Amino acid sequence: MIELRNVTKEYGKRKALQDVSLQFEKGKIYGILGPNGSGKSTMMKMAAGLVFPSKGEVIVNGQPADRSIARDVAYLSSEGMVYPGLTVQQMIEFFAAQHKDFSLEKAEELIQFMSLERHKKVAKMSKGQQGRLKLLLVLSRKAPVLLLDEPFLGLDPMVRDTIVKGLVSFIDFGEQTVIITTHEITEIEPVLEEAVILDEGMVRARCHVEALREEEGLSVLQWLKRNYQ
Amino acid sequence: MFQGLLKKDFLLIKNYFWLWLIAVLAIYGAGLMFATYYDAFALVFPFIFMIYLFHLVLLPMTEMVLLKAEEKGQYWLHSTAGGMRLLLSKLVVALAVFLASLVLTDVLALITLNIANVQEYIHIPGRSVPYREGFLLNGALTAGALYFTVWGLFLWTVYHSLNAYPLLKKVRWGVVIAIYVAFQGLAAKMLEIPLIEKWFASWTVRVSEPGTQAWGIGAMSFSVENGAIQIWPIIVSVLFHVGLFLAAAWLLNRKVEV
Repeated sequence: MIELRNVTKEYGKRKALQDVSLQFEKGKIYGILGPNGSGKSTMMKMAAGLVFPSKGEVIVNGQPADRSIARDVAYLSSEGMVYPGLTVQQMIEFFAAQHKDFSLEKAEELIQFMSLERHKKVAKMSKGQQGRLKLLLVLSRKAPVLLLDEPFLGLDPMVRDTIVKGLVSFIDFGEQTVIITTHEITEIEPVLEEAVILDEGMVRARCHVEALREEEGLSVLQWLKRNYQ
Repeated sequence: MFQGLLKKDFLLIKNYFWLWLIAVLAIYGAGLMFATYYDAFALVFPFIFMIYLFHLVLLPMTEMVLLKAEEKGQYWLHSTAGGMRLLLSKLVVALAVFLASLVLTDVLALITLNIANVQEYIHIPGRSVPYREGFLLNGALTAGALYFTVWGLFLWTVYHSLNAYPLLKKVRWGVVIAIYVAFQGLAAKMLEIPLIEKWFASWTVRVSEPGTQAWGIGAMSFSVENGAIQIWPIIVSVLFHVGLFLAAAWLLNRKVEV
């Protein structure tokens, strides 16, 4: 479980997050929605132990999130993450050496599934292929928490579709907690269980996707638009 | 885990490493051509000394290339390795590159010295290859390069720690330079204190004939006075730079944010 308790993150006078309290339960898939600069990435980096709160605390599986939380958290970053000079195989070997929960078997399956070339250098891969490689590296881990920060950024619809299928096929449902930040709501909606809207560093709304559909007859996109009307 | 970090860091620098070794051979080759053109074999030696001097910047430059590779997104911090192992891996790989290059330069220098000695192109006292001076040169270059590298690591982490403070972010370079200058000033003042001078002179090891010589750079320098090396400054310097490395690792763990 991930818990943010009254978390504020300040960069000088600017507040990236303001007194945010949220809980993410084990085994569920969450979507974090919101415009650019709303604090989505800051929140993800905090849960990954890469950014520290100015006030409040972030608890992951009962422990305050610091650098060592990488043991329990597999984090897909919107930038960096893969080295241009390394090949797909070298990236896999590097991740396998760094994370005890990395499954080489799963990585082998994902190479096939994602149609990646083992000996191709990252620098020579398209943005879509790089996006798929990042997902491979994260999904190959049997970590209790998966954080996917903008996994669809700059990718075409076909690649986005592959990534969603990858999520559905390779996530351990009920065991792994998955948090996804994205602007591409339509693709991800079928797999989401709950959605949270962040705006100007604050939680604007939160919903159960199924209840929203059944009780109000709304899609997540419609719900998002309604919240901004 | 550490092996994985070493392998990754070597892969990041591999191409630059080969390029550098080719550059060393090219500079040496240029020296040979120059010497042949002017029909003076001794003219190769300035080129060899130039290659040796380049080693002072080779280690810190390698370190900076390795750190630069992590700057985009700073994803490397998402790791259970901790700041010390992350930085140590880079230092070890950079040092391996440096030593490989230094050995290559030593081999070139030895070949050249032997040719020059046999053909009597230069005067060498006693006509024997100056191995002891060579070891001292290698040691001084390694110590000097390590000095710049450890300071570089520390100041790099200070620079990135200031990212979280928008007011200081604009003057980060100024802060980094100020820290270095302030330390150098402080060290110089401390070295003028008679008590410290006396303490440093209290343990010496004789290595050569009487006379005064100095090796190294800044706080990493050591001197041979009347043929003797002062040991305390070396110990203090090593301890200080280990402390600086640990401070860099602490900053990387606790203060550098993405």
